[in-house]
Amino acid sequence: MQLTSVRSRWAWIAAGGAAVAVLTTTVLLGPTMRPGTATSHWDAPATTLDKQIDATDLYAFTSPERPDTVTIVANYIPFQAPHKPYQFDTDARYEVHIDNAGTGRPAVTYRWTFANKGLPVPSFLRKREHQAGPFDKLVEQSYTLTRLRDGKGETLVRDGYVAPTDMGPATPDYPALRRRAVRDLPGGGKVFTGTAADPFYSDNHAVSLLRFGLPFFPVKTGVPMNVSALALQIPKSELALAGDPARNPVIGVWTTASRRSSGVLGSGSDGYKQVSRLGNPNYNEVIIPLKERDRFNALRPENDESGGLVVPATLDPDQARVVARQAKVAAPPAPRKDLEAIYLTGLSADGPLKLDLNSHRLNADASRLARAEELRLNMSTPVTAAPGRYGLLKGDHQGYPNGRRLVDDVVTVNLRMLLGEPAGRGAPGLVAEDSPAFLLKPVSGTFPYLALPVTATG
Amino acid sequence: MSRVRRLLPLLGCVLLGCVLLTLYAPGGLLRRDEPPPGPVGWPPYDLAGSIEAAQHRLRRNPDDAAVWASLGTMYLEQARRTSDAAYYGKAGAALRRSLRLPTGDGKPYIDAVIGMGALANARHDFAAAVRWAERARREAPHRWALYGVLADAYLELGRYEQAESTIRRMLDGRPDLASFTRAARLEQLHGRIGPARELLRRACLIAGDPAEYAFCQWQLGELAWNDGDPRAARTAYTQALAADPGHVPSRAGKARAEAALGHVKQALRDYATAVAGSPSYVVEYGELLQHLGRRATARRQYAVFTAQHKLLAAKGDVDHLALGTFEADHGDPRSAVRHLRAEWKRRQSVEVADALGWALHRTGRHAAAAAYAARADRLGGRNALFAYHRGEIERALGHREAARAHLSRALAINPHFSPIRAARARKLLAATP
Repeated sequence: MQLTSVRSRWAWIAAGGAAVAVLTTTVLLGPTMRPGTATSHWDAPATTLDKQIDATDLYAFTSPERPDTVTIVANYIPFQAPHKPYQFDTDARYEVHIDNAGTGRPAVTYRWTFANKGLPVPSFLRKREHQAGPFDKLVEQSYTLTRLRDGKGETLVRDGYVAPTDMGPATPDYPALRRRAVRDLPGGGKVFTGTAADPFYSDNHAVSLLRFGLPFFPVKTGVPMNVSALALQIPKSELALAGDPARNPVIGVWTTASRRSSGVLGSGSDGYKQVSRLGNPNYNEVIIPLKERDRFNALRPENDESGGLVVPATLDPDQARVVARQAKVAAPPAPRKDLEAIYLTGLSADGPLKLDLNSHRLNADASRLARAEELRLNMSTPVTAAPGRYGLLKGDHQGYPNGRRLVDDVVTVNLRMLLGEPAGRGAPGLVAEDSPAFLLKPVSGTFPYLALPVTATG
Repeated sequence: MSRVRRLLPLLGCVLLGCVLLTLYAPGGLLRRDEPPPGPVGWPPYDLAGSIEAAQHRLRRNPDDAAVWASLGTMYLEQARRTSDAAYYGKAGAALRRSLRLPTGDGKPYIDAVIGMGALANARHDFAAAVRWAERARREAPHRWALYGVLADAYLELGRYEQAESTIRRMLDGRPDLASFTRAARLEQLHGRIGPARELLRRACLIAGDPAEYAFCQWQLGELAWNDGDPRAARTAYTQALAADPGHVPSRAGKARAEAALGHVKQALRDYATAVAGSPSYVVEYGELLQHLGRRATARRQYAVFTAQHKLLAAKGDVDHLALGTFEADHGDPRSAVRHLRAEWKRRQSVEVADALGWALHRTGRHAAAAAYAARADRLGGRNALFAYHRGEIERALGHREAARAHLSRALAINPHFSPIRAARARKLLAATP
């Protein structure tokens, strides 16, 4: 079965207007020129998309074919049209953080920074994006990967190759480019950096329910798109507390992007500011109130417990009431200790879900734990032979919210958890489990698993 | 993962970022009456399509405050792009509808509050924009969009210190295109061209769609133009137009630059295109025609301006700054003073100070004019037109040295700043040894 043959049957549901990807800003700009007059010299776009630092999805799972390693994938720059080159922000730091002690502080941080090989050309310079034009010149980027731990930085990759998008004739033998972009790391790990087909999928009914009352994004398309991936495969011993994944199997993962700022009028700081943060899927857009969403993007997990935002928002999310009213079901009453466990502490037998799964409490050497929003993974959970897309809700302990695999339908799972599962009865029938939603392009069996970029022909 | 392969031929659905795609069962029947998919590679950010999608969604869920607010914001953007004022009415209606609807926390939907501020800015009601943005700040001090609205309003009101602190807040909280472009404008107002250029360069690199990129390149063009570099300006305007061929301000900017470079035919073609897209540039176009000796054609452009503003005035929408500026040069200077005094009551920006000073000069009140002209220069901005106006005013006051200095400064900043005025400045400088 070839993908191209079924393409004509896709119908797009832009009206469902759904996103797990958080377009982090919709910044209203500028008094416009009043029609017919010329008094304002200031006429800025109404929205800024800021795709380059937009963390759209984060995955963390035990590598099925190398179970002594964990794979972490952080996807950035959503909605990439096929055949179009997109670049990482060369003024930003892209980071993946690992908290193995349960304090909210990163024990290990992997940091990517990028440089352009040549002048970057924005991908949209041609009005008609589906036509490759002279402006679509491929501009390659290189990257440096640094590991930060114990206050020290260590360069793991210098002048790394970033896989560009598949631009047809401009990128002959694309599979070779993909292979070139996968590198071994010192200590037995691997890294892949570059463009891939966006593995995100979801059931549209779940999305429209979960996102009711959330901002509508000005995006329209009927076609699959690509993302820019930062993927790591790291030995568990490198990630675990005290280097011992048997004693300390639980890690918390999140990704951030920070951009260099600027002073103005000769004063002010040009330091790096965190502008994007992503741990659990949907967390910022669904649990954090809209008014605080920008603030969450700038927060560090170590400040979640005392910050007065993350904990109260999780214990009593407004969106639970909104969704329940819309779906004509009842949401569990606050305080939502179940959501606190799922998003902020991980699950343990003495918690509301009565299950030892992915709390840092399971780490024998962890002492003082803090509530912090992280994607928590128990690295000792065995790989499920036939993974179920609803993860924990259907008894598949290796699935979301114990980390996140590429096959997990996180929107449906988050919707059902918001309405009370698995601690209570919830509203399991809200989204039909025979939903046809699934990965559009098959993921592969080896690192980085991500499908090759979508092209005009599939 | 082999299960994935087995499932795919049957059914599939992908949500890519924020759009759902459903793969239908064999047979190809669409389950819902959705439009068919577009060609591969279609631009994902499509304003008209998004407006339709939002309307479609609101027909099904008319109580979604968020979608009403998004729709209002998109109408605002549509007004900006098409110069069609009818969209302001639509934007206002959608935003007010959002404000009336319940939200999760029982408060007005915050983006609708910010959107009302942006709408007020668009309608040049800057004081109201400050009120909306301040209201948003009380409700949601971390929602960065509100600071953009606030900074713009302060810049237009001439409250530059408040604009500066607002822009610093933006840069500290969220360095992005919105904060970089505003910081660039502040730098430019203070005559700091290098830092402004660097900020705009960075903004261009992170622009997310053609409209944003066109805006940033246009700003770079304006910066180069005002700095007396028509070649660099034309390059930037051309880049803007490559991304967005319908970007009228860049078309007009390119016309200006072509004229300065001696490409008069191309300049006239570009102006004709620009004024067809938006009448905002008819006066500038007319002045070039007048300079070329084509007085009748020039008068026709001025007539378009007058007719346009009569129409607006009939709707109660008087743009005092535009009218005053026009009347001072091409009409009745006393009427210009009336308009600009009215505008000065509302806001004390350097642009209004310059226009009012010039209008006063044109009615013979040179001493009063000089005071306003000095205020127009108070930030130290390098503005050739302001310098020229000061030169003329000082000359009228009999201050020959000062007049020479300001007229020379105007030509030094930008020898092409205006075909008519630059020629006159040269003539005056040649006549007074």
